[in-house]
Amino acid sequence: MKKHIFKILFLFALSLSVSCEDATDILQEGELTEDAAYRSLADVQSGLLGVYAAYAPDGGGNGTGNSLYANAILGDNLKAGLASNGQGAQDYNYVVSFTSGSIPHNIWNNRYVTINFANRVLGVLDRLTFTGQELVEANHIKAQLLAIRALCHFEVVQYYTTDYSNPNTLGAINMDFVPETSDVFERNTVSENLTFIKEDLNTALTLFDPSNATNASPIWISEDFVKFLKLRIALTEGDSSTANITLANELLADYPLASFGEYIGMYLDVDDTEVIFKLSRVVGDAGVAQLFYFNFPGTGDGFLEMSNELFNLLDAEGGARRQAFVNSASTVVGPNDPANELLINKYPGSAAGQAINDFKMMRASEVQLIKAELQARNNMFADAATTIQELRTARGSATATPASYTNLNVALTDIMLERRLELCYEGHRWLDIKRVGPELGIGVTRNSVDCASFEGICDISSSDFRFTLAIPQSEINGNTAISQNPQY
Amino acid sequence: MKLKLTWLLTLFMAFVMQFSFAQEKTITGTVTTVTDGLPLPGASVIVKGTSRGQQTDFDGKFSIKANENDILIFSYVGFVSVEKSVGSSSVVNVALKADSQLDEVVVVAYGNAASVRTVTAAITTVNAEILEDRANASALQNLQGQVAGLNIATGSGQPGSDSTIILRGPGSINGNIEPLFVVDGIPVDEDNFRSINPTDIASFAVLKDAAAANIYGNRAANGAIVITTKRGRYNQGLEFKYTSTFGYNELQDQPFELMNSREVLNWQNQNNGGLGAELSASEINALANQTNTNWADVFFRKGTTNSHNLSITSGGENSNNFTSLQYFEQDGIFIGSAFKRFSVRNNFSGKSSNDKFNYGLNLSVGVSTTNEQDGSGSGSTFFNPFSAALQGLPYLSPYAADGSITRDGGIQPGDINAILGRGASNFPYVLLNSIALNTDKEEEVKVLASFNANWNFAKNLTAGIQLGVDYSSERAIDILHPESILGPFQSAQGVDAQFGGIQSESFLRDFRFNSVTSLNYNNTFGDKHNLDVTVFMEYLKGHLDGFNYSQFGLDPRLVGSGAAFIPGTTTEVINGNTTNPYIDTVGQTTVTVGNMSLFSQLDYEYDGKYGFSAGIRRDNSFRFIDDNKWGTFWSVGGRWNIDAEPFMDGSAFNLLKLRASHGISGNDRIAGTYYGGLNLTRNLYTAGTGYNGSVSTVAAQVANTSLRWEETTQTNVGLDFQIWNSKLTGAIDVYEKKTEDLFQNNNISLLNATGGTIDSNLGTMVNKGVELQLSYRLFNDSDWRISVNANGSYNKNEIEALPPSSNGLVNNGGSTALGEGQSLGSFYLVPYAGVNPANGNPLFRKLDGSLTETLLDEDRVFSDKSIYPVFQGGFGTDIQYKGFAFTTQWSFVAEVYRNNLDYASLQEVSQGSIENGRNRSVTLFDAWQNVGDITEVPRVGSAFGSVDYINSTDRYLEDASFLRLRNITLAYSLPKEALEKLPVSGVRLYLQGENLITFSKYRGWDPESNFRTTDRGQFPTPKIYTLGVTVNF
Repeated sequence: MKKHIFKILFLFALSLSVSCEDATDILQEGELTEDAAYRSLADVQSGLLGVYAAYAPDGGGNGTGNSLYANAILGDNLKAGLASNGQGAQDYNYVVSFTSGSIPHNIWNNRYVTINFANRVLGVLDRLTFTGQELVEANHIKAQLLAIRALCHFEVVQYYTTDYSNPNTLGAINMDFVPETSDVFERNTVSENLTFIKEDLNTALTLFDPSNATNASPIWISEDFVKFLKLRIALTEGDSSTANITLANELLADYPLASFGEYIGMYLDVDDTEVIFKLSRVVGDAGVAQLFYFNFPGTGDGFLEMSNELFNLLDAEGGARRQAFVNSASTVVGPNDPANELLINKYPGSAAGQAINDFKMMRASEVQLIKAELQARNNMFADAATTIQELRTARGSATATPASYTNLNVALTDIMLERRLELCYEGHRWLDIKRVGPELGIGVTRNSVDCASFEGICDISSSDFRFTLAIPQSEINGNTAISQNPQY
Repeated sequence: MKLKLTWLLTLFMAFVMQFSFAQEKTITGTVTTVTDGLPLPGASVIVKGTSRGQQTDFDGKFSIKANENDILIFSYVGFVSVEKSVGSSSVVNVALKADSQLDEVVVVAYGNAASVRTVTAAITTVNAEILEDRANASALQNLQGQVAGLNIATGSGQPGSDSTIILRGPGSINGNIEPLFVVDGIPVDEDNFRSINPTDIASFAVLKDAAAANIYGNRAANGAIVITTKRGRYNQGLEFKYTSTFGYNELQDQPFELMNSREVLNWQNQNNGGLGAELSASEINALANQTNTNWADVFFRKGTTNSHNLSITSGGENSNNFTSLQYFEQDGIFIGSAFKRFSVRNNFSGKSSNDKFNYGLNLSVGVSTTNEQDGSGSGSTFFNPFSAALQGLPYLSPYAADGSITRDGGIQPGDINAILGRGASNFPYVLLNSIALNTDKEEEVKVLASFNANWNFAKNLTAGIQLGVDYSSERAIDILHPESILGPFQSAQGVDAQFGGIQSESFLRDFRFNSVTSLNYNNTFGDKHNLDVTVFMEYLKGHLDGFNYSQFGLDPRLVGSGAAFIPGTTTEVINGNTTNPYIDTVGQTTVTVGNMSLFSQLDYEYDGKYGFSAGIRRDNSFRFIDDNKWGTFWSVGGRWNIDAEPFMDGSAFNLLKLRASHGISGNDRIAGTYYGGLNLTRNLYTAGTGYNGSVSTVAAQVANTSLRWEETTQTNVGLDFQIWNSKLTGAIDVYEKKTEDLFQNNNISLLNATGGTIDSNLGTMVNKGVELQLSYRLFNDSDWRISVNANGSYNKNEIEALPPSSNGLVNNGGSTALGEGQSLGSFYLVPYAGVNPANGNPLFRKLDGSLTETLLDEDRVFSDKSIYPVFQGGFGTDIQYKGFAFTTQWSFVAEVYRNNLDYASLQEVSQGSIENGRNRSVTLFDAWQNVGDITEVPRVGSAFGSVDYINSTDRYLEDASFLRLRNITLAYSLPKEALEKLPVSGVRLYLQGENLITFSKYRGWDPESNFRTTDRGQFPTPKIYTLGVTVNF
């Protein structure tokens, strides 16, 4: 037996000589931990670029999407296209859905992913130490991160708050840190949100580096972005102080309304005269036109088309908007004819690709419209009318503007009309009706031919609960502390 | 072909001559069985102490050269060997007696074999000889319906396509559900059998319960299928076997009744859409008389199958060898699909003359080329050719001016109006064009190599080692031709760019290494106690690496080679902009997986009546960290051979064995796939394309450090029996399989930026079932042998617990959901309640039972219908008369459901869909038209489309149960007398058919599928008929 023991020992020694760690402790190639990911200012800058990339209000396609799509499909600017297989029919008909892939899910998720990414990079900035010019640059990055974090929080407030004017309504969850997976959160109130957002914006204003090269291009967040956002916030929270009119004038001084030619060029991504901020979309990015087309603008390819109602308004006023927004390959059989093929041309493609365009998020004309509304709300009706007339003139519109508005309702109604035309398919229509509709007593009223294209619902009242989006099911499932909006 | 045979025969003659010189005397005789006196073919006759051996022929006859006083050994598996000395007579007849101790051999783990009598586990063995004539490219497809509880579901008619295999129900929600596959001791990729020659396989052993599968613990939570390939025998003569087959494949019968040209044009006309609406009655008449195309006839074809297979076996005193070569070629029944394989195998075994040392080397190399049609199941109009075959409009002519089948329908490449016009009704032309011009090919090399050695180095002690490699490399190439209709659209600038087309290619290399070292102790004490203990150590490593690229922009003159690639630096001025239309994309992958295990197996037997087995193992997975890395799994099993008890004396049972087992196995394949879920325990970032075309760094993964093994506990009780001298044999098994710590998404806040979920171990699922396997020998005499066999199983799957955060329901959208108390894959839909007679709108049933025209998620209910079958099985007959053999094999599945989007699309009546460019079913003539119409089909122009019905309602949820004549074979073996003057020892001719008859209520091309939820333009499995000839010499 003794000699066998040696044999056994030999065999076991042989089997153990095969090292086992390489089968049990495996790090895959290309695993990037946080420490390895952010080592230098250049890495932090790449983190900022990831935050920009995460923010995608123009995302979606084939009948799904984010805020740009939501404002179009939920409002009155769309009808089903010739190529429709039912894309968007459920949303158009206000079928309540807040599961994965729905509008409420997409907007909420996208804003909070962006916030999460921003908070991670902000955390890295706190951890790393920079000095001198690097510190200036780090602060410029931090300012952009705070601004985009503020934007995302504000947009959550816009979509998920029942009543902007009530400071105690539940709004967004204020997030300035990276959560643990086991954390749960109730929403903060609107006033808490606004305080948080304004704090971010004001801090950002102290950190921007005025000499940074990015200030020269509207694809980067700058001081003007923050000023613009403050104006939007003011309008939403009902802050009509004249200081905001001054702020609007400041911006308009730097960003004049585009001329006819510049306006057409802006949508082809070759002119930035009135662009304060736009999301850059280049080769390889998703094509915003694919919210409406399977491939790119052209006949027979649009599953969503411009509504007859919007087309009639554009056709009546003529000018730059008629030319820029309606694709020349469209077929107009007759007024409100169900066979009309009204192809949306707001995103006609660019050098980056046939369906790819920058998303012009903040434009001088919106400042002009905000200014008009602020004037109207300060009972400066003649000034408001003048402001609107300036815009119409710049667009070559044939619509007549009165010398002065007779009262606030008349003014708001005209401003709403102008906002609808100027800002169509840019993520405003639904929010505008939500915000101003109750004051004017108007909800969504669609042209009967348009809603028939979807066999759809034509009208919903301004008091409809669906104007406030539902907190998505995924959030409810994973966050036991959160409250759902009423009636969902 | 004839030439080849002649050449082989010449070769054979040469061998005969060599052997003949050494012989002295020819002994002839017949080997029969004692019980019935029937001849025993295939018994071996060996001259003791020499390497000379022979096998008896089909009539039990043999002829062997021997000296006087030589001893002949007659043996056959399952019979007691007999030795006879050669006397003066040159005739030796022998009758062999069945050996009750050495019944049917069952292969258990690691190459060990046990008999049905002694095994404690639930194992079903299929002798692959009965599958050898079959014509499927993948060996696994032949197994369908053969084993109780085993479902081989093939969801595509692409020759060589992978099947989904489920044993005793799906055992995991997100993890791997397929059993482990082991070929000659090597664990292999369960998804790739196309490069393995089915005729090399000797047997399949299906290891079902914990006692059987525990030995493969960390990968066999879903059971294991152990495949053994053919080997030579020691002391056997040189034998050749050549088989050649030829046959045809074609589409199975279609259940659809489509509109013809006249009908669809009139339907369009009545509903004011499409071409028909613009034509007058006489124009419709003229067009309908002129053209009435069945697009299925254009896209499907009759394909051919042919194969050549040669195997050579030989064996000497201390070594034996099996060599095989095969060429197999099969056309798909869809144009553009085909499969070719060349394979070589060599299995060598050797031993020391004292039998103390054994070793073997198995080497198989398979090379296959697959031409595929992608896009099955896709909703992309221009990329799913199967939908075009079903839904192309009949008034479009498939012919070119010269009468041949058109390649482009007269459409110019890049002509957007011709492509998209009239609801893209020209899409069949686009697809015909793509099939004709484009390339979609996969080339694979697969090598399976295993080495094993056992050394009985001391009394009762044996050391063993086994090394195995499963290597495959695949090159996949896709070329979208620049001159095809879709070619010009492919660059970033679409038709405006000068060059179109894409060439995408990927190379993948998959290398899996496995080693097992073992030490075995075996001893018998006091004649009655037998103890067998083995300890093992296993090491496993898998490496996958590869790269891929997509080149946009091909020079049409040079397509097929890299010379066609337009450089990415090329600029073109388009619409006034300077652009780079041809930017290519590249990618690279390197992935590694690994496991390490220590385990031990014990078997104890008392007096041949009682047996006990136990196994325990510790498995380490690289997927987990800290305390969760190691999993401990175990099993126990016992048996009682009741027939061996004295009180059973004189009973009809020659085997009656009760066995029971219980044990736990683990599953670490979190993401299901072998190379998935690699680092889920770590927080990771990723660098990728960011804003404005720059590089960004963002969080990619949030860690769950508590991930651990998914555990399956299985209890099995079974009874094996053989009655009336094994006239009736069978097995019954009852089992419960409970999977705990299921890999599932736990819900977390969307604020974590993970999409609201994180991989976690939560939840419980149970499979319970009964299995029955029977075979009965009806008749057996010298001319006739008739037997029948049947197997069936019932499996009830139930999800017992989901993550607490889900409140018992996980609905990720789509038509199925996970619900506590429901089966996995249960449909969760709003009940369709027919058509409102008042307005023709569809009605749906709300939760409270009332009817509504509004389709709401909140009205969804579980339907108690799942994508996984509850019942499945097969049955067959085997009739032999003299040289004739006639076998049938049927298989069935029942209580299985699928959403039929193909049929829904043929009934598409939604608003605006009339001109969607697709044909319809004649059932649309029943659509609602007038107030008061009672019908099943809503009015044309109603609100919901086919996809709405599929995703949200049960209108097209259909029973996909089927009974299929899986195989029928008629064979004839030439009688010995006819071969006497030929240099061959056996000739067998056969005619076989696959899938010839199917009974099903399902209204689709093929009721069989790989457990998918929805059928949309899938590749149906074909009927295959082949004629084969096998020659032994």
